[in-house]
Amino acid sequence: MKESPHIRYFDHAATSWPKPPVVSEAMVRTMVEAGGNPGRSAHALALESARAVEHARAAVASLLGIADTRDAIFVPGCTEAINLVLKGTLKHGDRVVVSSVEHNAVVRPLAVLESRGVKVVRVPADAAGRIDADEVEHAVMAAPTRMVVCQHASNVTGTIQHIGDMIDIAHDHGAVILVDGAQAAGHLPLDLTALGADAYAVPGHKGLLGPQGVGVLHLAPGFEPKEFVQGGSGGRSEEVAQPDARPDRYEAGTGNGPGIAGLGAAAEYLATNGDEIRAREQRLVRRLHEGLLAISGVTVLGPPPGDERAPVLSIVHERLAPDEIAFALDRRFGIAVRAGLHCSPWTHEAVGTLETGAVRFGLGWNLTDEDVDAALQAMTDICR
Amino acid sequence: MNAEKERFTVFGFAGTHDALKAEETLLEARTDVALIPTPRALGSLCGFAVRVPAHQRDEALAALIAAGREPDGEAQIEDRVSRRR
Repeated sequence: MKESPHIRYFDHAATSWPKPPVVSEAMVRTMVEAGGNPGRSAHALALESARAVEHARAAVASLLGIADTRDAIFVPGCTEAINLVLKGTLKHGDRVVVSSVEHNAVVRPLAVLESRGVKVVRVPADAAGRIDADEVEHAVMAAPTRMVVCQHASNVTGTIQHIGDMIDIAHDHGAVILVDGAQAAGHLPLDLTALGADAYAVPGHKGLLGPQGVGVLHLAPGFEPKEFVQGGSGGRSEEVAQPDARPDRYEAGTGNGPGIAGLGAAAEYLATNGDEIRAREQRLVRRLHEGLLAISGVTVLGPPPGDERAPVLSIVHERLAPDEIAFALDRRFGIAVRAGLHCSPWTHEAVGTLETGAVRFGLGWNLTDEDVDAALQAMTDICR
Repeated sequence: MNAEKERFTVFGFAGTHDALKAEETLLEARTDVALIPTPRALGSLCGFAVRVPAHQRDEALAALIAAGREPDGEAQIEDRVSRRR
């Protein structure tokens, strides 16, 4: 196998890389030793496959604080989880209150629903991308509201929302709440059952350090959006209707067994190492933040240094365009970042960078002080 | 060939998740448990079902109920094909 190139990888907010070796090992082991179709047949290979999936489900549920493993639904990704909840819940005439810093994973399905008669109400953010819970309550109280949608942490500014307050507000006024946890899972400690959101969507391949192509949707007991896909589930084959038992209801068709096993291994890795990783990420993001602020012409978006944030920092420069900076970081210094709008035009609009975009540094589990210092030196050279 | 037939109780569950959890529970209860293709007598619940010797039926069911894993179906079968060793 070709050796991985030496890259200082600051694009963890897009997808984490590299993965802990246990992830690919679990995936290969599943393909070689447990390659049957989970939940279908009862021969040894299929049973091993089913056990691998349920072992992973237990590991992920434990990591995320999901009390009943049946409420941890494996999905192809966070975007599909969000689509499932939005399109499986909202109908013509329903009203949804949504933060104005959502990712396109929320914005685009909501646009489709809006065209079908769903009323979408946006709650503005401040200049740091933070949503005021009082504004959410004001919006929810203005008219009967079916759902509140809010991200837990921003993929542009790293801003962490007061999601517990949002959940209380939604429930106090008879609405359900969907939380996009794309930038929170793995980077923030989570106890989803205690948190109490009706739906919480998580990608497997970002902070959870799993492979691409698998994610988790936590559905609170009693919240039953219409399933997105109907089909074989391995059971109740004589019935035309999709079984209503979780997780089968939401997992029609053969799932991504190796991917799920890889995610399970990643969850076990984080259960052991997550606290240390999160502490390091927080220390490094602060180091990077303070260093970037010292570079002439650089503005850092989002909360000030010292405020808690997801390990994401986006910057603009007074003279250089984001694409120029990102290209120079890559080609001259081997530093991977992401320039542009980060699939979050609403967020860039909220923080005033819709026209320019920004350069995003997404920190992750494998970065070191040396990597941060190298990035700061490179930025100093580029921006001088 | 030993033609002796054994009698078993088979518990069916709504899904794979529940069947595997039931297996865990019965292993912890030291029941002689096996996962088998779901017999037609149980309709087609999950693709596989949990089999225990008939004489362990009551203790197995009690263990499942105590663990909050009550089966969705139950059938009695004879093993007509396996050879005893």
